[in-house]
Amino acid sequence: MFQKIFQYLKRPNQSQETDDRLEVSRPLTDSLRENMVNLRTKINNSSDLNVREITIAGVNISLIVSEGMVNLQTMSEMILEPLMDYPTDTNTTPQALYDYIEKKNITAADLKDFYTLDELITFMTSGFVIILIDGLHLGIAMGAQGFNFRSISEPSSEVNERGSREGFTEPLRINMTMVRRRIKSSDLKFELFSMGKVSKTDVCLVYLSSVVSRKLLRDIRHHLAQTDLEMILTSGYLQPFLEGNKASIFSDVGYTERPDTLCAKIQEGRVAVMVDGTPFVLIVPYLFSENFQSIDDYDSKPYYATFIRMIKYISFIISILLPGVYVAIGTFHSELFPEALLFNIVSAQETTPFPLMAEALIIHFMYEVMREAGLRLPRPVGHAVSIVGALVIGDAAVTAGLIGSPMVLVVALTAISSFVVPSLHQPISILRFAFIIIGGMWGLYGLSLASAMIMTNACALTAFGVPYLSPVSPLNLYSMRDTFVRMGFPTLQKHTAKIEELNGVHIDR
Amino acid sequence: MDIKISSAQAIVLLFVCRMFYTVTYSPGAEEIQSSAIILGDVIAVFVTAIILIPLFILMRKGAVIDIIHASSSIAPTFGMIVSIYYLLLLALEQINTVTHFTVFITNAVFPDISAILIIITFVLACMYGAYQGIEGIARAAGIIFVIFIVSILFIVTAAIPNTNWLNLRPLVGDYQRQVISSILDNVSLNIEFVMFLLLFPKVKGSFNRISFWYLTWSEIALLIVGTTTVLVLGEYLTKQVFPFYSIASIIESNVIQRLDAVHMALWVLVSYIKAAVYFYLLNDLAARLLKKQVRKLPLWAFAALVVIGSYLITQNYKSSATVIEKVLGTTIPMLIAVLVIPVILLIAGKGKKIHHENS
Repeated sequence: MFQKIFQYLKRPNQSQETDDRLEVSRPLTDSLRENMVNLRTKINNSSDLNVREITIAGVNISLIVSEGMVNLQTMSEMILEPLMDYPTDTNTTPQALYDYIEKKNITAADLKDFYTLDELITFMTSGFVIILIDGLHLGIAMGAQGFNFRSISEPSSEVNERGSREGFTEPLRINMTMVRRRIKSSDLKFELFSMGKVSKTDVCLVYLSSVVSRKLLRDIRHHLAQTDLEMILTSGYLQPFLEGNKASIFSDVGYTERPDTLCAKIQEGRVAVMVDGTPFVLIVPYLFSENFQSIDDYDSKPYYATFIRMIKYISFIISILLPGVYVAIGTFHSELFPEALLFNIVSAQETTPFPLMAEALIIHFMYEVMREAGLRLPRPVGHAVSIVGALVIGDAAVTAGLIGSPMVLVVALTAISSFVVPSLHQPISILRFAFIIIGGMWGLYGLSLASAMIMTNACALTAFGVPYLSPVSPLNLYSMRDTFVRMGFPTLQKHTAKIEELNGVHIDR
Repeated sequence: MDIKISSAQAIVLLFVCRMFYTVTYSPGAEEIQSSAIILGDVIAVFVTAIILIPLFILMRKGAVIDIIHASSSIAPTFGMIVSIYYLLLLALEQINTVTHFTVFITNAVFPDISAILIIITFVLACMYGAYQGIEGIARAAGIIFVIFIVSILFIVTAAIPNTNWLNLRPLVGDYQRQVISSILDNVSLNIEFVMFLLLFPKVKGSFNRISFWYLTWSEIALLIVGTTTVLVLGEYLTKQVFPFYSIASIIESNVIQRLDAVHMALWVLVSYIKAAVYFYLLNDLAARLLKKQVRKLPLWAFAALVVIGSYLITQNYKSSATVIEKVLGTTIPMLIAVLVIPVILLIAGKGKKIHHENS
C-alpha cells in the first residue's frame, strides 16, 4: 500500500503536463496581436526575441528573428526589400499578401509554412526569419541563417598525413554538406529530426539506403526514440542509448571527426548519427578492429599499412599489460627474467622504499594527473605542465629514490603506446590500473584470469546484432583482408564488405 | 531453440575444453612404456568413436535432438531423471576441474597461497564468463584457441633440443595393460561430449561432423603434447605431477628464462573457458528444471557447491581426489551419458520422431 502511495507521489503532475503539451502545440490564431502575446508569454519575454512590426498596404505583419541568428544582409536583400516593393496604393488582403510572399517576390531558398507556436519557436531559434500576417492563422519561416560558427579546420583528434584536412564543425548543416560533397549518390540519405525536450537539438541519421540494413536502421531509430533527455549538447549524450552493453568496458559506438572516414563507414552499411553543435559524429555499429584503422592506411602501400596496424595492435597490448606484467613478474616470477636483466631490476629496486605495485600505481597516477592537466589547460601552460611532469617523473623521482629507473622506462613505453590508439584511451587507462593491482596481488595467474574475463566481456558485446570483435571472433576470413593486414585496392575493390555479411551477425536487410 | 554458435565455434570450444586435460598430460601409471601410452592415445580415439555410434545415429544428419526434451517426451519422469543425472555429472566434473586447477596453481605456481583464495577468485571469474553467455564464451574460446596453438608450438619447438628418441621404448613385456589403461584414461577424458550433447541445441551444424573434427584436432594435440612429454622426460614422466609443465620449466628461450609462465597462463585460459561453459550449462539445465521464480539462483548455488566441494577435496587431495577421479575415470558415468541414454532414446524411437528446429 505504501508502495502505491509513493508511486502516486512520484508521478509527475499530470494536469500540468497536459497543460504544457497543449501550450506547446497551441495553434496560431488569425489575430496577430494574440499570436505575439502568446509568443512573448511562451518564451518569457526573452531578450533575444527581435520583433519588427510593419504595415504593408493596410495589413499588419510582424517580422520575428532571434537575435544574432540571422544574416542581416540576406534578410534585407531577400525579405525586406521585396516586401517594401509591394504596391501600397490600394488596400490589400492578408491572403493576397501571403500569396505575394509565398509565390512571387520573396527569393528565400528555404521557405516553409507552419501552424503552431511550437514550430514558430523551433524555426526562430534555428535562424529562420518568421513572418506573421494579421488575419492568417499560419506563419511563414524563411531561412536566412547567419550565426557565427567555427570555420572548417583540420580535425584535432584524427590527424592524418595525406588525406583531406577537413574536419566536421559544429553546425549540422555544414557537416551534412561535407558528406554530400563526397557522396553524390542518390542513395545517400539524411534523416533529420529534433531531440531533447528543452534543447530541441537537431539530430541527423546518415546512411546509404542501398546498403544499410532496414532492421539496423529501425533499431537505431527505436533506441533514439527511447531517449528522454532534456538537453543534448554533444553526441556523447546519445552514445549510451546506442551501446549494446552498457556494463561493458568497451564501446561499440564509434565516433569520427572526419567526413572521409564517415563516408567509408556508411558505405559498409553503417549508420552515422550527427548532432548539431558537435563535430564528433557517432558511427553505429563500430567494431573493435576499427580502432586500429585510419584513413592514412589507404594512402600508404599495403605492406606499410599492415606494418602500422601490427604496431598499433602491439602498442595496445603493451599499453594495457606491460606495467601489470612487469609488476607480476618482478613480484612473483622473477625467475622469468634473464639473469642480466634481473640483476639490473633488483639493483634498481634496492634503492626504492616501495614495492613494485605501489611504485607502478603512484607513477601511473602521477602520469594521469599530468595528462589531464595538460589536456584542460591552455596550450602554452599545458606544455609547461608536460615539461615539469617529464622532469618530475623522469629525473627527480628516480634521483629522490622514490621509484626505480626500469619503472620509468615501463611507464614511458606504456604512455607512448597508449597514444597510438587514442580512441581506446578510456578502457586502456582503467585496465592498466586494474592489471597493475591484479598483477601485484595475484601475479601472472591473476593477469591471465583477468585477461580471459576482459576477452569474454569484449566478445560478448554485440551492437545491434553485430559482434564487437568481428571479424576476428567469430572469424570471417574474407573481412580479415582489411583487419590485421590491409590488402591492396585491386583485392579490396572486388567486394566492399558489408557489416551484415560478417559471421555471427544477427541483422538482415 | 535459439541458435547461438556456429559449428566452427563449437569445434573450437570443445577443443579448448579438452585441452584442459591435454596440457596437464599425465599417463598416470607407475611404470612407463612410452610407446604403449602413445598407442593407447591413438586407439582411444577409435574406441571413443565406436562408443558414440548410437549417439551419432541419434543425431544423424538433419535430425537434431535436444536430449533432455527427447527424454521428457518418453516420460516426464525419465526426462527428470536424465536431467538430474546430467546435472550431477556436470557438477562433479566441474568440481574436479576446479580442484585440478587449484592443485596445479597451489603446487606449481603459488605454493604459499591459500587454496580457498584461488578457488573463490577462479569460480567468480568463471561465473562472470557464464553470465556473459555462451556466445561470448565461444568467441573468447576462438581467440584462446589461436593463443593456445601458437604457445604450444612455441613450447614444443623450444623443447626439441631436449628430446631423446631413445625414450621411445619398443612395445615389450606386459604392454597390453598399459595400452588399455591409456585407452580408458583418454576415453574418460572425452567427457566434453556430455557437455556438447547439452550444448547442441544452441549449435548450428551437424553433431557428427563437429564430433569428427573435434576428435581429430584433440587427438593431434594430444599426440604432439604426449610425444613431446615422453621424448623429453622419458622415465622421469612418472615422477612428475604435471609433466608438460615440467618441460616448460626446463626449456629456455632467449627472451624468457623459463616457459612455465607461458604454460601456466595457457592453462588458466583453457580452465577458465571450460569452467565457464560448465557453469553456463549447469545454470541452463537447472533453469529448465526449476520454476521461473528461482531461476536466477542456480548459478550462485552451483558456485557455492563447487567452492565447498573443491576446497574440501583440495584439503585432502590424495584421498578424496582419487575417489572422484576413479569414479569419472572408470568411464562408466560418461558411458551412461553418451551411450546408455542415447540407446534408450533410439530404442524408444525418439531419434525418428523428434526433429527440433535447429539445422
